[in-house]
Amino acid sequence: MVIKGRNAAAIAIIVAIAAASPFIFIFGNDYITGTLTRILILGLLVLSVELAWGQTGMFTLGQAVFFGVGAYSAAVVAKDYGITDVIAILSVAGFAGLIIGLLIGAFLFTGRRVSELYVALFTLALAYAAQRLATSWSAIGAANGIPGIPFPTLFGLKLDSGPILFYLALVVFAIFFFICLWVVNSQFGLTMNAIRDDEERAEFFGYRRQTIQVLVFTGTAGLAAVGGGLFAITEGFVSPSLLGIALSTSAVLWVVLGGKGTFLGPLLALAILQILDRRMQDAFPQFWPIAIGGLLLITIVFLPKGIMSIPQVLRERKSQRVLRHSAPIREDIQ
Amino acid sequence: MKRKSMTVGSRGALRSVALLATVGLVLAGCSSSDTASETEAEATATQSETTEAAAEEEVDTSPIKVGVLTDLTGAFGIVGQSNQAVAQFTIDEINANGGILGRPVELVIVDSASDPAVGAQVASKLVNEDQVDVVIGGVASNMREAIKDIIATRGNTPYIWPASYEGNECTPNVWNVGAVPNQQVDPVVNRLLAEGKKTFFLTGNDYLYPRSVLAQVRKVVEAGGGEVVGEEYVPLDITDTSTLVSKVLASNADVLFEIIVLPATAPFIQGVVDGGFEGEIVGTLFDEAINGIIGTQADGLLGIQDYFATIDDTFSRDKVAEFAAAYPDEAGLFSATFNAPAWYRGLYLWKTAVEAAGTTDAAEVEKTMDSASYDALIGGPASMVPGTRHAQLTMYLGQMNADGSVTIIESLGSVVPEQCG
Repeated sequence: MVIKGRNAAAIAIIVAIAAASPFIFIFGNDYITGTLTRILILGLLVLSVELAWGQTGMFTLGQAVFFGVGAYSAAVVAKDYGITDVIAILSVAGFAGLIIGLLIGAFLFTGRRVSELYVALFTLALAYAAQRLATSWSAIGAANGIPGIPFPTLFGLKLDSGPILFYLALVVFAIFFFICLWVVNSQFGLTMNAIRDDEERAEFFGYRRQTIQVLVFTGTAGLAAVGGGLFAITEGFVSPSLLGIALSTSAVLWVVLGGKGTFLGPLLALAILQILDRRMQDAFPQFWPIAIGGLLLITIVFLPKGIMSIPQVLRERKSQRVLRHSAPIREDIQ
Repeated sequence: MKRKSMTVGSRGALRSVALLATVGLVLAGCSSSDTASETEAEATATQSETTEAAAEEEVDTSPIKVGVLTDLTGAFGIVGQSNQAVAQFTIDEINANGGILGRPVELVIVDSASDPAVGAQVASKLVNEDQVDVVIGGVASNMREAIKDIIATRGNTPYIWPASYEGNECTPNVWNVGAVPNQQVDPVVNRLLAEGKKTFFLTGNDYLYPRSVLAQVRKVVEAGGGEVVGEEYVPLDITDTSTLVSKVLASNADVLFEIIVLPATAPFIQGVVDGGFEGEIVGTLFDEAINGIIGTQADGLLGIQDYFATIDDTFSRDKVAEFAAAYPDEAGLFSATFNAPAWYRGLYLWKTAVEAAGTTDAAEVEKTMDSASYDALIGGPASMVPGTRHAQLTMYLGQMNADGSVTIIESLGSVVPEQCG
């Protein structure tokens, strides 16, 4: 039953986007199409943060490292080796992410129990180091990154227009979205949640906490890397900022604003902010970054579970008014 | 637990559909306004097609759109603010003199936030949504790399890159109006070699621009019988330069050629000067804006730029005074390292090309821009060298003074870029 409800929501989303897209292509332009494509691609990064942090309790502040690893490997494969087949490129990107993720995950989680804060600081430092490395490594373009990545192909057909790249991103997103839902709703997903809620208790029950953490960390790295690979071939360039702190923390911001522990909230927060962001940034370049910061603070204080909890908060406020209950609202939510 | 999540799950589905509908509405709102402008554009297009043959005297008075893409925020925010002011100043001047082809010019300004990923997004907005006739901008080379394909190749729109840079940008529709290494390196290095200074120490930050410029220095030094006695690269965000300073001092070189960018410029130069370095210190990034940061140790540094505030050219001085009056906040930042002369130059060269073509059409401008030339420019006349996509510029060799001003040692005249040949 649980699976059905969630899957219905997921199918509703994908179908709605697919159904709405022709109208966007007819009435919109390549910029709007490009923005939507980017939302789907960054959506993969958001899903990976949600899986690692929201579902398993590993607070990763460096998820963009894997996004960037995917982007750079896709760029190198497409540009230097002339391989443009999209399946090959995304496989290489994902595989690169899995390997790096496994190495870092194994180092981070085996042999010891680490606090959420430790994971956060470690991954933050990792993002800093990765950006520094990419900025000074001349084989991958150093600070200039890798521009002019050729358009991808699928079975020899060139995927070279905005709408086609959009559908490519939609298909890839849909595949991984369903995989994520399937994982979270499986027995394995329950174990992930158990580790998130209480590591020690989960271990007492006999679950191999370390193995599961490393597995999930590796998987999310692969997922982020596929997103990065998709970014490289649709946008046509990669640069060191793709694996840095700014993108890593943005991903966490989307998850916080949307509601940690859900898939829809973070994706929705990402979509709304991406659509608003460019217009607001150009209209109020000095003011908008401050407004975003303020929004984050307000959300954390008043809506600790993100925008997905708005209906719940409203409902509880209403029932309180009816009952003239005096207890503070947030105690009720918990 | 399970029952609870079930209800949440199905409610989640409902909720998501409702939220999606909202997003859909927002998008529909955006697209409908686009549709309006698009049909409008189509209407004018068909109109102009039908009337073109019949009535040539009918003048198009719709505004020409110039896209300005620069880093208004982030690491290069201060440069971007200056760029924006220069663009506004130049376009106001063009409009006051009747616009281009009798049409007014309007700016569409976007912020690339010192982040190439953002730059790619806003570049697409300029080209695909605002449908500008030309894009000018970018501060650092990584920005150019990220946006050039979107504008020039995929977007088939002329792109003016207004900065001194490492060279080798030969993409169609891209026009480079800043200095390239040979324009900033050859005259000064040859002059020093002629003075009998034969040993050179080269140092810079570890990224493309310093490496490319210093490669050019090495080439000229070795061709002229000189010797490179040391070459060192340091990370971009280095702050402690003491190790590098001692290497420079130990080398006893006749000349130090350095491209250490902010924030390490000042401590590095101060360290070398205070440490008693006796040779000449040369760089491609010295001018009035940077001297102020270095302080009194700037005394005696050599630099080549396409403009200094003290050049003997009344047109430039008057224009910069006008700019300072119009934008008092940006007045002190009208400098070569902030690309101010290159922005002014790029916009006027493009104006000339559009007037020669009689249209803003990218394919026509691609032909006329190839040999565009204009004299009334800040820093002196400039012309595109046909077939090279780069500009021949008037260059000046200046010596920095302790008070931040620059003494012009030599006006080098027009220097030809060795590019895309």
